[in-house]
Amino acid sequence: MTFTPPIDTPEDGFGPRRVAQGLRTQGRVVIALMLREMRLRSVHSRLSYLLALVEPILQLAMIMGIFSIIGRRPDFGTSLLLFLGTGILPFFLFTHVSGRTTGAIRASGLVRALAPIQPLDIMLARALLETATLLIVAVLLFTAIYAMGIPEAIPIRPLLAIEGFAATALLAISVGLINGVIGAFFRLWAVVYGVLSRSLIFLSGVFFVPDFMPPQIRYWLSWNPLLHGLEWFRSGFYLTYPTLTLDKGYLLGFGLAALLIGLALERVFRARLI
Amino acid sequence: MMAVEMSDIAKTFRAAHGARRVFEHLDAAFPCRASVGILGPRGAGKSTLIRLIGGSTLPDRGRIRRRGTVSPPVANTQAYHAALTGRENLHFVARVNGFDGDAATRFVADFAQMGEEIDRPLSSYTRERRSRFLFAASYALPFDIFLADEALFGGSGAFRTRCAELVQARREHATLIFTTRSPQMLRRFADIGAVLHEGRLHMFERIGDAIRLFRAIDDGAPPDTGDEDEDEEERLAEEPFGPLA
Repeated sequence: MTFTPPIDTPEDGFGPRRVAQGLRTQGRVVIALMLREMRLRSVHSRLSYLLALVEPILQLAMIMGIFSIIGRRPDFGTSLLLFLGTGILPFFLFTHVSGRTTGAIRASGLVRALAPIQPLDIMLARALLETATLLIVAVLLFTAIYAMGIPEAIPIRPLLAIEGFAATALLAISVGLINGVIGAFFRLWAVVYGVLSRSLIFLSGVFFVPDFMPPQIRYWLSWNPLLHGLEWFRSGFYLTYPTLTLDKGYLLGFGLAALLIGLALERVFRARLI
Repeated sequence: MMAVEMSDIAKTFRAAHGARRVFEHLDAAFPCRASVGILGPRGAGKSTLIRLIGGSTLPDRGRIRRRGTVSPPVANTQAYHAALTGRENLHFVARVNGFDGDAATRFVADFAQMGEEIDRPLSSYTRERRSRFLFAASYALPFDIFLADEALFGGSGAFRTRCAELVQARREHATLIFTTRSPQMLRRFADIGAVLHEGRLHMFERIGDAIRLFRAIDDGAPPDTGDEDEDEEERLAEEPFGPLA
């Protein structure tokens, strides 16, 4: 006889073994949901998942095209492509992960269809799948830039780039959880948030180096946590990139606080999440 | 050992025209490896009770303690996606519960005589095929507790008979909790009879006592004679498979 209590079973005891068992169940459920989600994205056409990979690259190409026509120089380094690429990737990571989690619960149609699946699992599955997708996009994008003859596309301090990516992912998933709960109540939130988060592209240092800004503007910009994620990630590619504005503690603190708020919201509204 | 214990459950539904209190102080316990048939008139809260046990509705107050894995209600389509094939849907449900998806698929293909259709999207199934798939899939995984709301078995012809035998076989090894409005079903499938009335669950060791109480409550109850396990699985067969892609 197998014994796997659903998550909400009040337990007889509490100890590391029960926590490990709970984590194993949750991992199993999240992976099952991720596989299903991936499969469902390629229902209409086998190309649709590939398109999700190519989309950020196409958007970058478009911005590149506009910038080269108006003859803009990169704010830092010699390659405009790399400068924009290192900025746009963390930006996409944030907007895609936190944005797509907004409609996760309703889109899955799975809330309480099976005892082990909780709303949190559905949101996590989508956020993690999107993060994994953006990781693949990152590898593709920088390989492509490298292949175009820009050797700096291989990060000179890889650890910094990876840390920056991970910290931005934490921020994105946490904000995504909050969005997921709000989105379960207000359908319109997905649209509102989409507009708001996209406007962050001008405030996050995708097109400029924050340290080169006037101090007053720099101060206001520094409240944006995504800007710090971008700085962190970018500093992995340039040896001499100025990181006076970068405050890693603020980004991580913001991410953790958002995570706690997201988890708390999910717990409070669990019975009403549809 | 109790498979499911419910203590002091309260449940209210917020509807457009005011709240409707289904349970105020419901207590119930369902023993392991026993089959409990729950009788109740329309609107007594049978479906709500099954949903509470299965966790698809959360109570406003009170605790529900389950020992072992709980199946979704028999023939429930919520976990399935119409655009996915039978095999993919089975693998998903098996994976979520930590069971062997291949074994489940083999069982369903064999039991429902599906052949290659198991690899076609559910949306392409005919009505009969769909209902066979649903019932076979409901009993394909080794859950500890099986739940059924009205529909316990279904299909037509020889499949219907085999399906009823399958339910009897599962009863041997697992806990079965089902609701019905037919005393005949209680006699066939239950070890313990229960009647849900005015927010209380009355349990009886003898099926006959449960049926007698049910008759006293429900004037419109069908007579105890004749074969009337026709139940409402037709209603379920009409339901589409979850959201269409």
